[in-house]
Amino acid sequence: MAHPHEHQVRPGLHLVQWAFAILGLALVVGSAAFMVYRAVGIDGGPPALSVRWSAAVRQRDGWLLPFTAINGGGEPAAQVWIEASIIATDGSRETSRTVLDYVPAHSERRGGLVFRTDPTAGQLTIRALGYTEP
Amino acid sequence: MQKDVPVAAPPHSRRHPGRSFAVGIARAFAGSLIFALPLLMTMEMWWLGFTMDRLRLALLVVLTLPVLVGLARYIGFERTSGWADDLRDGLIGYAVGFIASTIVLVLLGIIEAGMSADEVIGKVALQAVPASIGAVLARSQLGSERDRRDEETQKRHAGYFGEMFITAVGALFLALNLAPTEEMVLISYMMSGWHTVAVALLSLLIMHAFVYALDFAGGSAHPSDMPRWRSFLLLPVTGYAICLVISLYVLWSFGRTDGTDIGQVIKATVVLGFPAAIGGAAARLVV
Repeated sequence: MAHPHEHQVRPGLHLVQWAFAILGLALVVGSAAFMVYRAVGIDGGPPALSVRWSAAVRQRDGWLLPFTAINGGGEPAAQVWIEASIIATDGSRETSRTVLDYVPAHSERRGGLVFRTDPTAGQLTIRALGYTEP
Repeated sequence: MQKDVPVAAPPHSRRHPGRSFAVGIARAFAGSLIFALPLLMTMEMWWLGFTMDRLRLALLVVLTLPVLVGLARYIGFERTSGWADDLRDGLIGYAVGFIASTIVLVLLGIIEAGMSADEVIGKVALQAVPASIGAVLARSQLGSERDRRDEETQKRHAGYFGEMFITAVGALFLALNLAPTEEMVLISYMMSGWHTVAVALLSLLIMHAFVYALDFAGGSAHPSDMPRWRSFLLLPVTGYAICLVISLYVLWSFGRTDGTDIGQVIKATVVLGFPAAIGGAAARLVV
């Protein structure tokens, strides 16, 4: 870039400009390369959904059971139905369910289910019922 | 910027080149926010960040670069003299767009702990496309009167290819703004074949009207080496064709064409082609 007015630009400024530009190049190449890596990577496959619950919280009208849904697969899942059941010691059963809009690949989403009875008093099961492809 | 002809360089920037660059970067951030905020606050865009096909997202990111360099060539936020400068400014625009998108997405709680790198990078990389276009356009939109005059000079030298390029960028920008929403596909379901033809004709008419208006506004639509009647017929048709291609590309990128009947794809392309045509036509006036 030889130019008669080159000397007017301070060398320091030139460096700053090119530093920004190199950052931009790194971001373009980096994000594109990462996407390609994810597309052809070995950790692909359909959504693998698992659900973990945390400690139930006593509330005025019942119990709240917070949960975390984790997608271990390589593809995102939409409309993920989560269902939990409590089988109390007397054999009575209570079921609650909710739906998560999305659980992206390798990500987690949190939610909560509401019960009338104490979820920890009986046998608790929680699972994902299914999903749709976004 | 100081490498330009000395008479065109603003006197203050010759005295304080560092300050002028800082002002340019600030403008670029402002531009990227103005252009990208509607999309940064659109939930379909957040979702597309992790639902979009990864290869299509990679392609979109890579294709953004020539768009930014081309924009810097014709109108960028720094007064440029050569391709190396344009490349540099395009890259700076991408960096600014990426950083601005990251800041806003984090501030709004759209990116948080528990999200995978895949999700976070996907969300930011997608938003960085319109944000970086905004960053490069910033000088044109927010620039001083003096800058505008310089820009007119540069635009007049843009020529036929430049005109079509600016049309394509305008179309891409509007298409990116509207394609993420469900409505594009929904509208195409509600429209009959006749509606589609009518929308296509109206889009074409709008393109034509803009070319006509540009000719009166002292714009650059009319290449001097082309007969007048030919440019009036050829420019809108070519421009609209570009808009349709851009619409189809954006719909495909967002997975709206997957497993969809070709008739529906054509309808959706024409529907999105309508705002794209307005964006493409207006870009030559606004940009």
